[in-house]
Amino acid sequence: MTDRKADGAETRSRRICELCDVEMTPLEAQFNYLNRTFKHVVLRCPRCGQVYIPEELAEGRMREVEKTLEEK
Amino acid sequence: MHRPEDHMKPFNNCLMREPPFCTANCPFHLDVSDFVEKAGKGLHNTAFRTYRNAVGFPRTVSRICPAPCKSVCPLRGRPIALRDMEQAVVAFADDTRPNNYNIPHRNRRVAIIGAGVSGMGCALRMAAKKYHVEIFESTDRIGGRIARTIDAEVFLKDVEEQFQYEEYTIHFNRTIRTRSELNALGFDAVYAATGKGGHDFGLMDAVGENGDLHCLTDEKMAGRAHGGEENVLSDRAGLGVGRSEHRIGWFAGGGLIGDESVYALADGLLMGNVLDAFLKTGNLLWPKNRFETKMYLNPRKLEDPVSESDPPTGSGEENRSSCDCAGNAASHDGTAISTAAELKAEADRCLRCRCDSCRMFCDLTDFFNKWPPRIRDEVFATTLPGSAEVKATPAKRLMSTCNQCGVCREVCPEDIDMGRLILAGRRSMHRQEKVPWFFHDFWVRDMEFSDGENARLCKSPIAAESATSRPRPERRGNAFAFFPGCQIGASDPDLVLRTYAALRATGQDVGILLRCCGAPAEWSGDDGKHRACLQSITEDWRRMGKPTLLAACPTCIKKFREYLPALPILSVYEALDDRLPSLAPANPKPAADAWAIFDPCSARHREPLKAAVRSLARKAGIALKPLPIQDDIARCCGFGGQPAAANPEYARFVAEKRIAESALPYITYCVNCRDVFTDAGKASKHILEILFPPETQPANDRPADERLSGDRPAHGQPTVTERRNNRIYLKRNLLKTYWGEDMQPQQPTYGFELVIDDALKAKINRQRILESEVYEVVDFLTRTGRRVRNETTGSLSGYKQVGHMTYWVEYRKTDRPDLFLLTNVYAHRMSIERENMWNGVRPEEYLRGGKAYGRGDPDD
Repeated sequence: MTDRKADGAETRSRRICELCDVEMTPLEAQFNYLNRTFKHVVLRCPRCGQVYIPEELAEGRMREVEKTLEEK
Repeated sequence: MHRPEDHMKPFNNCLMREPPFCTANCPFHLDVSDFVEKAGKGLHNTAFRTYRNAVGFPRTVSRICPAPCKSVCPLRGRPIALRDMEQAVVAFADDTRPNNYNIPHRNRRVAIIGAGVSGMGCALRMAAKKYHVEIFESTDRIGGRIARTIDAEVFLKDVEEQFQYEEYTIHFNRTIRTRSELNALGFDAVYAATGKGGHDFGLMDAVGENGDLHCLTDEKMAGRAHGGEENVLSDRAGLGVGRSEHRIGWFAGGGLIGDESVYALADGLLMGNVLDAFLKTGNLLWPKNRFETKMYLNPRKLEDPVSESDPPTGSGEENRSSCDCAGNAASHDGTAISTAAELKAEADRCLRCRCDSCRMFCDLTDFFNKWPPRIRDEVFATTLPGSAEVKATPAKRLMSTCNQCGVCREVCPEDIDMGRLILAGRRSMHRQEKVPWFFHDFWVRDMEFSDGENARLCKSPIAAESATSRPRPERRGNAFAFFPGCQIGASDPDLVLRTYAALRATGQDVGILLRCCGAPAEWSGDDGKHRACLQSITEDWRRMGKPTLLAACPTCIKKFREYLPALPILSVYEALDDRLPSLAPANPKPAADAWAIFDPCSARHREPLKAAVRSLARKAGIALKPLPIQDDIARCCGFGGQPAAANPEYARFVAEKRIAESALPYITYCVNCRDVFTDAGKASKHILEILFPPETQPANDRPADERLSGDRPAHGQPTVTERRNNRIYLKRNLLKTYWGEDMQPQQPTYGFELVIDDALKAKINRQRILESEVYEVVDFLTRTGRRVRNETTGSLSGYKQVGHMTYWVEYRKTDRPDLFLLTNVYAHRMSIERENMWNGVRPEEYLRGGKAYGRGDPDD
């Protein structure tokens, strides 16, 4: 797990989970769109699991996947 | 009829593959479009190959062809000089070698009687297929009658060139008089091409077993040197000798059966296929070398200025001197096209006839570069039950892209209706729960808002309410209710107020019905929701005393006529045109010299409606000029069918095409057209804006709700948020002004306010995110504390899924605890799942055990 990188994690400054007051780290998260489930490594709070998705990811890779799934 | 399959049958009649007129009339059925395309591109060798493959002997045919293509060319004044192009290609091509097919020799033997063009044509085809070919010629030369027409050397050169890789035997001075002569020599098939008046071997009157003329079979005489005529069996159907091993096929063609010149050659070339088929299958078939085309050429293709600009230079039949100037390609003397540039110029004139009406007018086929049969196949495959893992779903986005404007059927000579098929496809997909919700979600929610408490208004005409019996000479003898449609009030509520005031000022009892016509539900394919909406409209109408609805939106009219034919509906424009003999001269003239009326697609065939709008514009002092394409083929602005989420590129593509149709500013009477054009930077006005400009608004009609009206921009297009607020504003003002009622909008209140700058507002609007949704997310974040802090900037961000969509906000705290500075908003369609069971560390049982979501220590 040490070699995992979350999209957008390197380019941004440190993100802190307000609830737990710990730094968010790249961890796997589960997503669902149009009845299809998939996993991807994003920034998450190691304590509560809260997910952080930066805009570049939402409007980049995620948008591409959404468009692909819409055609399936 | 909601199944896609019910709409597919007419697609079988699609004419896209019909050959052009010239190809159908050509003795060789040359693929003229292909030839012209290649010739025009300067690909002289490939054009030559196309031509040579069709005609067999290119040098000869380009000289002697009577060019029957000319008589059917739609460019009547100056048909395409195809023969001149052919001669030019023959002259320009530097590689004229025939194809050398490396295929094994066949052991079947073919005899050809006569070495004229027809016999040589057959010999060429059969030799190329590597049959054993022997030609019996009664004279000492080849060419037959062709030598009388042209220099025999031309044909000889063709023969020499085209046969250079082929083997055949020719017997000169050998006259064949009876079939038995050749039957005895062990041939499997014979082609009699003895020319006009030549010996016919009984073939002239022969009718084959399949009903084709000029063909018969003889039984093979095993072990006999000479077969007599008495042994001939011309029709052995039922005797079990259908296979060609036992029979010799005899066929006649060319001048012998009356086909002269190039037609004789065409017979010979076709005979290559006929003999080949006979030898392979034993079937005695000799189809007529004619075919018809059902080609439909859209008349607009002939309006192309290219074909009109240069008038005919004279009768093409006249002999011309060899000094015809360049570009005068209509000449027949063979020198008309002497350069590649002239060849290209002539090729450019060719219309490339094909039935492409749909491609000319339907933006969907244009955008996707697909023909109706392909779209049919893709819709069929996509709507088949089954998941995408086991079958293709090629038309998912395409189906949600169609504008549903109906122009495809309008222009199709075969009544192919792609729009209906696609609507049925959307419904099928919805039933199967396979439509991506994102494609239609925004507009379905928008419709729900329009029909909800905050925006829907249903007020009877006063007369209907009080049941007074004032004489009403108006048509249908009943009262009226204004039905502006859901979008005009969202876009410009004051315009609705001014129009309503004008309608009431005519002394008529006019109620009002604010709501949606159900089109978004129809377009989304949600049949149930659509039916419920129609039912609710009918109930509203009954409650109002069954007034005649005066609709401002042509789409509402179209949908009512289709789904609610019992409800009387009239356009507000016709009503106004009847009631307003002249418009107040005080109306300021719009600042343009001339305008073009852009007829919305839904107004197609509504002649009284179109006439009323034009009459109103003229009454307002507007000079009108027509658009180049109008009337029955009025097309969509890009809004119809709501493709903007499924395919935003397409929506822009269509809008830009419509805008490019004229430099004039547009007057339209569908507010969506106006908004689409205005968004794209085109000057356009709604006809009601011209009739009732803002200055005409009575002062007492402006009891503006300060907060809501303050949200409305003075200029520019309202955002999606403002469009909702506008509807609330409209309902509130109408209630207050005409019914003295106060309305309290049902909107959630929050204990904070957001500062959103204009750039961010514009960004949110582009993504069709409502500010109310942003408030909802920020509220959730402040209540739960589920936020992420950027350590460098201190800004907070977090998300909440509202409906299907997941919205992310970024904001900063200010000095005031109830005021936040919004810095960013974005959204994604996929949802984040099982956030507190991340990474396998926390087991699913943790959730089932009832622990608080997202809280607690993972180690406990």
